Amino acid sequence: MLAFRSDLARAIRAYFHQEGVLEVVTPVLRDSGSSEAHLQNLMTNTSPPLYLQTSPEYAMKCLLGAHGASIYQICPAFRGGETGSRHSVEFQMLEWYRLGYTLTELMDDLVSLIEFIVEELNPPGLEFNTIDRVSYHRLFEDRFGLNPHQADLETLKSLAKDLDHLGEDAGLSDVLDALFSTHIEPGLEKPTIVYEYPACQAALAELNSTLEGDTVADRFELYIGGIELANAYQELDDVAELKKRFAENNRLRRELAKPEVPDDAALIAATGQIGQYAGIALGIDRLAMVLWGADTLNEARP
Amino acid sequence: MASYSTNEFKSGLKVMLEGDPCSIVENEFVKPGKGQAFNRVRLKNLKTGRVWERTFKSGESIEAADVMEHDMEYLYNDGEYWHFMKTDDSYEQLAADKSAVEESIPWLKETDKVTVTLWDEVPIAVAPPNFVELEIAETDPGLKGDTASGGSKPATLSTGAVVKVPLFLNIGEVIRVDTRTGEYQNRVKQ
Repeated sequence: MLAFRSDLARAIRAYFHQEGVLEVVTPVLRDSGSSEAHLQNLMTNTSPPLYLQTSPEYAMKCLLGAHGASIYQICPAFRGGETGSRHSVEFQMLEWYRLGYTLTELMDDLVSLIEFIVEELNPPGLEFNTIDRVSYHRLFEDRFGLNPHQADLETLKSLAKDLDHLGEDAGLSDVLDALFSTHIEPGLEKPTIVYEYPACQAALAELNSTLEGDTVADRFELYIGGIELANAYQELDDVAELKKRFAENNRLRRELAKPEVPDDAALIAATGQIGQYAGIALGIDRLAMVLWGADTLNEARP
Repeated sequence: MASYSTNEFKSGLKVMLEGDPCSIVENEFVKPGKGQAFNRVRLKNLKTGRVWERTFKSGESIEAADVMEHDMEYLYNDGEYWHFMKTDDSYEQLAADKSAVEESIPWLKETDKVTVTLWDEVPIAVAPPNFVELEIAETDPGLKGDTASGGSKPATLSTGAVVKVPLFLNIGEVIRVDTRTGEYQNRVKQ
């Protein structure tokens, strides 16, 4: 496994070198963290505290804004309270940003990367032919017979009766996530890209309209073996909208009695001058697990 | 009252659910990237043996169940209660009512070692050994030499359990049975 992980890292670097994407290193510590309500920031015991990154997203966006280049990074990320067979408080992430890319171009890029890795490593755990692409809407409709972008909260809750953790106060995003992760995700055995997420799960992705006229998040995820491996956005480059998203995150944090997180001033300053770009984060430990055919994250971490 | 948070959940942990003591069979942490985390848990109700599936919000706490398991020897049945004795040199005895032993009755043989589950000091379940050796009390006469035809017939054992056995076995012979499946394993030479 030690040699396999080394080969994997080398293959990733070789791919991006060939593509002319620059490898960068950004600080792991930052003076603000992620305001996403369901991410728990780990912080230092200094005054004021520093935040350990939940992903290198903000730092990389600032760097990309300053230098105008497509970049990638392999780094540790930290998320408090996440421990399980597929979760670890500290994990290794591959994150990259492509200037000028549409989300569809980034999908092609991701497929090329996975093909390149499989070609290089000939991994024991993954029989690889092709990566399917399917919309969130299609998967939801095939499983539950309704359009997730139009269904009201009560209807969705009635589908989630067996999920006891969803209380009276469960919001739209929580119910959609719970339904997706218990009824749809486990079935995504073959490599699959799922695109057009519900607008309430946009995080820092642009919003867009589907052919059916629904507003959706311009976001996609990669699943292999029923496991979520990567998450990508058509990145938001609109200061007003970014501030609105931060404010909404902190409003939800107050509602959930979680500590608020200061807005990331550097990201706000960098936003608005970048133009079109797309970015993606991929869990390397999980990728190694799937490629190796391991059942738990720990088996893939020597 | 002691309680456990979902991040302490692991298989074998004893907790209270809907007023009944349960043992956690399986615990899975689920968290979509930026979504709400929850734990998907399978729990065995220790009173009924039924397995429940539940989801808990991560960080939620539930009450611990005061459940102890003791290795004991089965002594006798007085018609109303089943009596057991601890095998830890204390020779302490206790009596279990029918609801606690019900499922194990067909496998309980005097002097056999069993596991008794106590909830708040009261026996709620008795688990027989995985394999027991019992005598055949009643069955059709054996077919001599028929050891390979693969046919079977019902046999009533000394405890009252009815098990499918190969055709060659006779009354008075002792057989080994897997109590988890109720299946015949082999004949035991006396």
